[in-house]
Amino acid sequence: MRIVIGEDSALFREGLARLLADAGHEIIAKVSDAPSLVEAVSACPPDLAIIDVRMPPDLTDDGARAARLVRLSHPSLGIVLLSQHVETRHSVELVASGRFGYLLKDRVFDVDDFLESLRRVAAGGSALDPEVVSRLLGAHRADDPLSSLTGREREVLALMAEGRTNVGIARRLWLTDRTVETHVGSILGKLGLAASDEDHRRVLAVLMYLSST
Amino acid sequence: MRPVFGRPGVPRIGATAGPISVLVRVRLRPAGTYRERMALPRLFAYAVAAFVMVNVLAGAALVFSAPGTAGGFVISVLLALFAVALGVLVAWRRPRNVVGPLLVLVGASAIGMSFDSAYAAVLRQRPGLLPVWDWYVGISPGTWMLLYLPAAFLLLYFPDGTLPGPRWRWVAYGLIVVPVLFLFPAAADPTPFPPPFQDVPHLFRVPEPYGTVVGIVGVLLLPVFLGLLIAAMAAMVVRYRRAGDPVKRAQVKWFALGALFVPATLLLCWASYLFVGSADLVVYGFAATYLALPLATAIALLKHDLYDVDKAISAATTYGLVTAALLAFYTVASFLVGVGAGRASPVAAAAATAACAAALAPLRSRLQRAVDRRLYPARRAALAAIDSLRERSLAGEARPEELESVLRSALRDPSLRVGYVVPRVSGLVSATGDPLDPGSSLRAPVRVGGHSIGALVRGAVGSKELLAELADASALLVEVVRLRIELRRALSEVESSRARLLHAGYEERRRLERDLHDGAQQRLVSLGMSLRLAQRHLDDGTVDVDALLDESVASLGTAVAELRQIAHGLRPSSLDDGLGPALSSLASKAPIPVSLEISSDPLPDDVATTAYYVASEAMANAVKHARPASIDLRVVRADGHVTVRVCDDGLGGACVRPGAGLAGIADRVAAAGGLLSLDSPLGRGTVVQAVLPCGS
Repeated sequence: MRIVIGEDSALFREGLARLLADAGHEIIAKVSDAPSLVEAVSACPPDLAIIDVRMPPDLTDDGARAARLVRLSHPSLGIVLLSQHVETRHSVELVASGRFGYLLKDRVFDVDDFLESLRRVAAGGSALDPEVVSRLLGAHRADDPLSSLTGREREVLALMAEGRTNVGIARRLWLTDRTVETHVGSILGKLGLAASDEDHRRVLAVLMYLSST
Repeated sequence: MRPVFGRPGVPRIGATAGPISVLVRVRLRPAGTYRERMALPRLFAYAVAAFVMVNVLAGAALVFSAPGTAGGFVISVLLALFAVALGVLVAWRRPRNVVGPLLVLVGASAIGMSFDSAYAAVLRQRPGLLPVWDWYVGISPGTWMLLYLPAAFLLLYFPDGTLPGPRWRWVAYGLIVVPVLFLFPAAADPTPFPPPFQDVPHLFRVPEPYGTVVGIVGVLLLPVFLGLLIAAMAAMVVRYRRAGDPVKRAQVKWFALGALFVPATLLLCWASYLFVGSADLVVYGFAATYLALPLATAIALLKHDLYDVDKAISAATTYGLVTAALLAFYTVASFLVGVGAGRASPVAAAAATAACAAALAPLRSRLQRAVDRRLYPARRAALAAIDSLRERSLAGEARPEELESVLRSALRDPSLRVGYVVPRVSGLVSATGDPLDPGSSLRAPVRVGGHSIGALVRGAVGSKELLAELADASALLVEVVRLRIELRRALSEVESSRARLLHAGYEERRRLERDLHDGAQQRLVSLGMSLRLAQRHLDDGTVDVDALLDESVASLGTAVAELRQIAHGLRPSSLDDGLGPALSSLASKAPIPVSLEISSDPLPDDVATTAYYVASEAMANAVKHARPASIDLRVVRADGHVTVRVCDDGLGGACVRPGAGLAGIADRVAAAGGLLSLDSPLGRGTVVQAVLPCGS
């Protein structure tokens, strides 16, 4: 994949570049602030942009704002936002729009899983940090339909919300594809969501459900 | 809300302090400087008053010699004394005002007129008893005009002693010139003088045909004089119309009415000649004038605060009544003791009178109140209103802040203000704490123990003496309001300081979060990535794992150092060994010699931390801005306080700007219950001192 990295910490930027290059990806630009990121993406559109949420010039959410801007001009570009801390409102909204990832920076330690998330986003899927998902799940009241899910079903739901495919979920939980399909059907039924073959639509439905209450 | 000090359980101020007496010492002394005391109008008034007294005595002697003239004389003496007394009173209160002497002159005219007729009567009844002065008789036909002058001038100058406008001076000149001119044609009139002077020769004889001309000139002067009198009356009307202030208007209203008598008297005189054949009727006109003008003055004085005499009259009346009662008692006591003991015993009578005087002393205040009610309603009403407000405040039924509105309605002065003095604010503030600018209006300071705590400021004109007295009476209420304003300001300062501290705390946490995220956390994440990279290539030999691990350990060391720095920002870890060593280490890092004197007692941790921050901030400021040659740092512990004092010999001119380092330190010190002071005169160094409470 051809990747653009937007990250102000030189240490992390170089480390990430080395990691990605090592995994066989092509780093076509490394920038350290939001305006240069927008510029770099426009100059040579990549397959994926990895953007730090907090960057100069304002050091607030400049990365996230640059991501929205880039999304408008390049709708098919995959974007993964990296953050130092968990933030649910904007992250869920962005991820639900598709081709978006939102991950904590320390996810890079699980190199394979991180690379898999990047691939998924570039291919049109989503990636939401498990920490964010668990917050979404945890925020629910005891009496809503979520409480009727079994423990296994909750695990599957969490992975669905992270943006994983049935195959990904099966591999993660050491289950067969068919079992995962059964769980997914049951979950969607219990929550009253329409089944869909498209992964993205499914993620969208699940996230909407989780963030609606 | 109930007033703070009216709450049950709280000791009531009045219960211990005792009510402030309604009657404040009566100060009966003429105000002003020596020059003012010796002002010409006043001296003239006193001199004429003395002359009138001599005339009264001389006139009395004449009346004794000529029976049948006593009635008219007594009436004129009464009229004269009334006017003279008022004139003296005005001259005493307003030494430079010509109204005083003019009033005395009105009295002098009255007495002069009757003195004249008494003189004539004596000569008629007992010829030869008194000498006949030819010149006196000679000019007498024209002197009647002079009798109008004091009244006419009063109309021009009442009440403030100045003319209503510069053009009116022609009237004043006319009033002097015309009567003087008139003396000559009147004296030249060849008609024989009335009895008993029919044989007195005429002094001025003008040969014909000039005599006729002079006579015509004399007759022509009469309408001119009438015109001048009417003009003088018009001056009063103009003054009345111009007075915008209702009080000033009321002051001149009756006088303007009295002014009518002046030209009317002249007309009456001519009517008298026409219908009666002599000038007899004019006496009534003069009597009316001499009564009306002083009476109008008295009304203005008593009812409308003119010349501030209310209190003097009221006090004089009270003392007069008390004295009269004492005299009466003495008389009765002497008589009774005489009857009882069979012989006069002045000692016993004096003792009885002394006992009576003692009994009358408490009565005096009641009497004063009763007199006040009649003669001095504004004072009475205002003092009663202040009293009642104090009572109601103590009972929790009113707020002392209502003082302003209470005084406004009592004095009928809707723009009266009550100002309070609070610390650290120049000028006065209102009860709500807003700055008050009373301008140059009449004001009276409110004092407690020699300190000015506020002021009463009148919007309209009024008596200065009364205002000063009300200020005395309001002192307790003003003090309470002032303390409440001060308390409110202190509370709001505490609140804003707390808000600033909260904000500073928030900023501090934000900064820490950023430091952690951007520093140590980034470093640790990239460290993790390096380790993963090393792991992936551990066996294939494509990466120098050894160098990668070295790099990682170095990065780990940096992360630990960064974390230590952040932790130090939370609380200087050098304080672990105590404040002294921490400050020594701070001083040793400064680029300027620092002399240290630090008490060796161990301080509580929080006090030590605050003291450390004060010292470090003050030193940092000095090094950064003041360019000093040396810094002196002292920490002294005494009497439950720790004093941190940082002096430098630099440029000075430092100030506590909001948001700057010193302001943050001031808040920190305030939060610890201490006080930060800054003394930094330009060019003479800076002293920053914090006094922190330190219990044990």
